[in-house]
Amino acid sequence: MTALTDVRPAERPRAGADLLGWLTTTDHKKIGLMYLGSAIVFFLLAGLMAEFMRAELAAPGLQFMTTSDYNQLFTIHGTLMLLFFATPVAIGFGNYFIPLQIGAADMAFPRLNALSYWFFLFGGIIVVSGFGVAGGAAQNGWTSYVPLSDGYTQGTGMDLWILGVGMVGFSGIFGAVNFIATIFTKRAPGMTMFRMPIFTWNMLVTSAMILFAFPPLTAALAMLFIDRHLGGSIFQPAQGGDAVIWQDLFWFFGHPEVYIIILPFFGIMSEVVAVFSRRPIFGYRQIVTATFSIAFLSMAVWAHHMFTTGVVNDAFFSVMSYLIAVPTGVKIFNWIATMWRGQIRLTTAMLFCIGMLYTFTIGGISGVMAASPPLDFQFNDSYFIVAHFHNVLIGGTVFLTFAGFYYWFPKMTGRFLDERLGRLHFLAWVVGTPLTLLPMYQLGLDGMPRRIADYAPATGWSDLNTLATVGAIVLGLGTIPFLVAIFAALRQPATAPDDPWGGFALEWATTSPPPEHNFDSIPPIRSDRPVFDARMAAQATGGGAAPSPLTQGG
Amino acid sequence: MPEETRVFIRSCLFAVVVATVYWLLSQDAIGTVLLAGFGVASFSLFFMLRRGQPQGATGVATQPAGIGARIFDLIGTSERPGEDRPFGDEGGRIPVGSIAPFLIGVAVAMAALGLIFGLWSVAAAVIPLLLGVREWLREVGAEIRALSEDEERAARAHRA
Repeated sequence: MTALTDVRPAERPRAGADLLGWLTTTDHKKIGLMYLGSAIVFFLLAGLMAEFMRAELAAPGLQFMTTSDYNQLFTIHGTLMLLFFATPVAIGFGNYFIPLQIGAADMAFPRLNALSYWFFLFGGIIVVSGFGVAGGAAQNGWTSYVPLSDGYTQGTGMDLWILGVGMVGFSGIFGAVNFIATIFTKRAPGMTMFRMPIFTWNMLVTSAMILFAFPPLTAALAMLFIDRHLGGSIFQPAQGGDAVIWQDLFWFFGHPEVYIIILPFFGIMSEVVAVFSRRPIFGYRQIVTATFSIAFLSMAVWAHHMFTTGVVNDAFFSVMSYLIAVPTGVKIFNWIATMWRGQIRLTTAMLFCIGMLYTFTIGGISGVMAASPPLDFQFNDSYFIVAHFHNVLIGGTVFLTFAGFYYWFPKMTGRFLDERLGRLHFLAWVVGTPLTLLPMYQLGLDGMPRRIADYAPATGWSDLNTLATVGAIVLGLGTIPFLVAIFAALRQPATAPDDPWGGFALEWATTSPPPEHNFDSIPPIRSDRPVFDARMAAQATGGGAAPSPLTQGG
Repeated sequence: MPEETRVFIRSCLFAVVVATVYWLLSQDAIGTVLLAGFGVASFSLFFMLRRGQPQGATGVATQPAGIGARIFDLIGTSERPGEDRPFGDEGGRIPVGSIAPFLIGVAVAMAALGLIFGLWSVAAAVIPLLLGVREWLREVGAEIRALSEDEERAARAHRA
């Protein structure tokens, strides 16, 4: 065991649950928990908005809200889900587990880490506060296309959206710098790059993508603000500007963003599938290479969102978009190969991973269809696209967020989430997702446009919309067992063992929850599964502690 | 070459190739500039990391010979002896809790809102900003002094 004698935890005050302790913390674990907690609150808020929207669409006619209310809801729903839930929940898991997985005592820049969190939180509050101002929140969709968001939308809500999203942009950049510096400089002795857990690899690649993708968004937001308030005409064609530049800048951020919010979760998938199949991940290097390939290609596919503008090279972006399916497929096959002949334990975390395989793949295949320009000209701005990206994001990001929670909750809190509630949660989501989304594919093919609050009875869209709403209600109700499981677990004493699942990576080599300085000692690192190696060595010499009952199976 | 620097030279090479192909196919200036910008940013990071790399982390004794081997070294995924250590080290102190990030976060949010609601909000942001920056600098200074003392103490112990 390598003792980390040069780290002095006594420098830091004792962790307290008091408010000042949370306000002043620079501990990566507490900041990670704050990210996760805030992201879940934004998720619930955005989910509630989705339920209102689905309720409105269940039948023709305007029942509950005006078209303006509806516009605000889908704008803030998309913004919160993508920028204030999916991205920060990945950053939250990264904050908590990257230093643990590489054997570090903290992040490279702990104060910058805290600053990053506060920028994110205040950015989110600013965006949501739009509901409280005259004229309401932003209502141009999460893409905020100009000239709609530029000259035509007056009111403070749109300005608050620009500022809030700008702040989360800076937060992401600070976080990315911190993750890269931590992974490059704080690894424990023996932890080479190719011994890092796949989750850490994926967070590294994601951080690099954030560094390249977020600045164009921040620049675009600044230009939009200049257009709106300082007499600029950057995006206004009538005054010599170019509205399509906004789309280029936005999607140069927006499409990598799709992978920014999926790659970390692919990392969680790789961890969970390997541990609960009791096999090393199949094709470690191929998975790392596939991650890089996805990241590179994702920087060169943004204009497949712009096929119908007529100003981009459709063939080029179509080919690049097709290519990105290849490394994604490699990962899917690697996960299946990891499970193949493994001793699979169907815990809730594993169930969500298996559910992800088919849910995400359906979304991915519909994405390949949309990458074909002739098809995209039909699908564009229809419910087919809504179904596609919800299939990808629910299947990939949301399912694997839940998997991450069930898998790492014992490490973060010393408590288990109830498996029976977990199975109920999984069942609701695995049934509710296709029940919501499959009707949407058909609605898209039938010609229903997205972002409408109402439709005529004669369109024949009522039955499928009602079905989709029933699915959304199942998803909403299905979230309750998850929340109950969290609150119930937190009321229990912390009794989880250090390594309840028979894990592989270094986070399982410390206590649950870890001490403030993370490790008292670190096992020798000679592979990408140091904890597994240490367990085997201890068993071989007869000196190891008996595996906990949970590592035995079932 | 350590994997840490390879990460960025690979993305640079990818961006250069893709930007060239895209320009030849489309002559679209906006898209080409964005792709080229991705390449330039990647190269800048590669260059900074290469320069900042500590001596001894590069496996100097085992530099590959021949242009083919060098190209493979640039984009390949093999690790050679001497490259298996991180750029930094595990030493150093963990900072104490700090109110500075929260104060600066509040200040920046207030200043941003001032762009919409008036300069009074920007003016009000000055106080938490100054307090936050002062606190941040004070803590960094204390940390640097403590680290120097640690090093001196270690050196004295080593000599003894």
